[in-house]
Amino acid sequence: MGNPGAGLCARPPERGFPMVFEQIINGLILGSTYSLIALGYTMVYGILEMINFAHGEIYMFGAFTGLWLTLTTNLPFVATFLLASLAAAALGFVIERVAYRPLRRSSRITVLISAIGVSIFLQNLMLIVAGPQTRDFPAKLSIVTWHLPGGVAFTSLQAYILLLVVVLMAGLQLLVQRTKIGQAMRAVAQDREVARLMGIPIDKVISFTFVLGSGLGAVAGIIIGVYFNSVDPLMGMLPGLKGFVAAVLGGIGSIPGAMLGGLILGFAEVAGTIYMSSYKDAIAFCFLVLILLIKPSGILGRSLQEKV
Amino acid sequence: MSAYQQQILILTGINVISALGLSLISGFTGQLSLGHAGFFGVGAYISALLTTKAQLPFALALVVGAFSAGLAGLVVGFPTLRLKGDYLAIATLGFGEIMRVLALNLKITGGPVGIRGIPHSTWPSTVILLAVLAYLLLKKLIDSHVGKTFIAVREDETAAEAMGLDTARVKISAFVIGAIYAGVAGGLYAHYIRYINPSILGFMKSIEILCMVVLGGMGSLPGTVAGTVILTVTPELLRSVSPLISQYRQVIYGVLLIVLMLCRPQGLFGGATYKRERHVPAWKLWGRRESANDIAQR
Amino acid sequence: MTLLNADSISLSFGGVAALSDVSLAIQPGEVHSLIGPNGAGKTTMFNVVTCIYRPQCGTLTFRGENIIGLKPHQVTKMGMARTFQNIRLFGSMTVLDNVIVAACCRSTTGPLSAMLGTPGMKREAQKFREKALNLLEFIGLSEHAEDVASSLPYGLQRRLEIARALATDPELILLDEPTAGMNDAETMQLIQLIAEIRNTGKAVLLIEHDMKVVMNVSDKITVLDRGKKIAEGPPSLVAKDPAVIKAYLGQEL
Repeated sequence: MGNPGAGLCARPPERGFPMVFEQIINGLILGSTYSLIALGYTMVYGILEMINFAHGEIYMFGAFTGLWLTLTTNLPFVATFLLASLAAAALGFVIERVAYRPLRRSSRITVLISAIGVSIFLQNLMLIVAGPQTRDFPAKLSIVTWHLPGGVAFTSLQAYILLLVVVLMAGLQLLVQRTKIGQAMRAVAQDREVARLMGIPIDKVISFTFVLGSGLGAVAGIIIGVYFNSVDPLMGMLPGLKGFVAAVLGGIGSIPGAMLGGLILGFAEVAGTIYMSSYKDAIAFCFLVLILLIKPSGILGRSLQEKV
Repeated sequence: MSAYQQQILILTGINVISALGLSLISGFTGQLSLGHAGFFGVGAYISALLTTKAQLPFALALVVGAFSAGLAGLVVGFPTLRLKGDYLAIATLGFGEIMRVLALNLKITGGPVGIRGIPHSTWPSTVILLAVLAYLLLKKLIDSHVGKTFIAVREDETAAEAMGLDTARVKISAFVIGAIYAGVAGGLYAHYIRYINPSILGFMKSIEILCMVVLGGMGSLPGTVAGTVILTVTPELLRSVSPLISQYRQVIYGVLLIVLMLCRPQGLFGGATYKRERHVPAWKLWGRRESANDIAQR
Repeated sequence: MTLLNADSISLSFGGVAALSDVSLAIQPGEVHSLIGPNGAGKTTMFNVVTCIYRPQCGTLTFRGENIIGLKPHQVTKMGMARTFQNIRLFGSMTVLDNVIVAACCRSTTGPLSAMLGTPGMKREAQKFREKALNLLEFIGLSEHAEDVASSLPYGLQRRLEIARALATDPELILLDEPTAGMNDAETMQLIQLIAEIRNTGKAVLLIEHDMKVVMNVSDKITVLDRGKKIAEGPPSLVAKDPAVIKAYLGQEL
């Protein structure tokens, strides 16, 4: 089973402040990858009201493509990142065209089952193509470790990751709020029928949303692959589900909500790793049940009453 | 009958019982459940613990296991009442995962190793008898006026509620009965294979059962049985043709789900589809732009 | 005693007021119409009364009991049934089964008895079946009893919705635009049907755009405009009310 955070247990726990600091960094990184995954879910849900169940597999595909490019080419790491994200974006585009778009008239459950089919297909195809074993992901980066006063260590890899996530999130926020395509996305999310009447090319906007979400998912996959130095065909399943939980937690359909939900979940899991590591994977689902019982619209979500 | 044929027969029977349970929850009541293996596992673990640790007779252990699964169905049913469609599906999936994590970590369930040395008590006659009984009871329910209230919830929950049906109760009933079915199947399985571990609670197991129900047709009892037989027997037959097939089995499951949803969402023996009548096969819509009418129909 | 009493009901969605301070009282056995331009809040009022929406302010009693906070099925069991503007039948079921399901509102049989086929369950099944057949007779759908509900023509689907609502034994039946999409002949039949329902002693709350129907059948009319009540009274008075004429400006009453 895909298991980001497995590496967390492997590190010998240090005592006192250094340990707390390290766990905060771990929580930030894990949380921000959940946020990146959650963004893919939340944008698609906002526009189509469907759970793209195959999103976790796009994340896995991104990580594998990144690994493959690293192993077979001499491209700089940044280019690897970019190309892998593009490949995942293309995959997202194809999935929407083949498995979701023809079902836009169908009930939500039909689409969900189709999405589950895509997920199982990709997962098991990768199992056959790449084999079930977990692989190392040697990033072509020179990693420096900085030792700060108080016994605190901080690596350049961690810095890169956090920087990248901040840049991506800020960029996404700008894209959605300031650009024409972002405006179109918001319009379609608000009311597809009205958006269509206004002459917004709905199909293009939906495709773009899938492309964008898939690209972000792939970035998350590579980050996790590099940070925990492990990639395997089933790695997308749990983070995929947890990304969804993060999206629900923050308020599905809300972009800041996805960011917040991811961080909360990341920190909760890191805390869980310390106190009850073997039940770590159950934390997300307990969160899910709790949030759905207390505030189903999520922390930053709008509450909606069903139209009758 | 050869031992191999007997094995296929027994596994088919067990899957039929489990799939009938899911058919009630998802096919007839319209509540997509992705955690059916969780109920199956509860039945398997509880009954196996009772026969191995408490030396209870098999029949009693089977009943207790089934009711424990039913209890789990009740527990899952309550929080999921507020959830619809996709949310419910994810929550049931979460339930299955929580069950798996529990089985993996608890001492009494034997952790990753599971439970070994379960007495062999499941015989072909037991399975056939119980499968037939399970079918007949469910048929009786579905054909009755009470059964129609389940279908009404699937067809239009708001309208069902407005017609004075306690839809919450209907949904919980479906979960409890469906879970009991899965629990019986799990108990039979444990006492046939004689060894269980947390992998029987895996998400893929839930999907396998779901595929059987969807293939045969949501909301069709004969369809459920046919789908189960096809998906249990075919891989075995193909295995003897080429060993590669079993490797591709789950890839095929994936493709099967997509193709079915695109071309025949009502399944092979098509009972009712989920809402939206006048179904145009989705492949005819490929590359087609969405019209205002499509949106209006949502 | 007043059958349904809604007092000062207010409800807003995301800051937009759908209903503000609307009161409505329905007496047993009367036909009460709720009219107003599109978006006036008529269907929202229906959804509040049937407990699908919960109002933010106001009180709501049915047969003297508070019903705010109850679930829709509980209100239906108390004797209030409704139809939907955008027909919501159980599409894949037969016409007869649609009505039988609604009769199950008064069912005392659980799933276990149904599985075992107990004599009590069989008696109940027989009872509901007869009741449903009688209702189909009353509403004029007997010959379609075994048809699939979604295959019926539009006008008959509307009638089936009414039969289904009647199967729950209501004291008050709420009809949401029952003549929408009907031709003249069908509309005339519907006016007759409403009169017959009234003759059985049931009260009717009617949302309707067709003024011919409203003026024909109503004992009392309440007019909503943009979430507010602007007039109330017998048809003859409401038709002359300047506020109503203004709201309907350009439309013939």
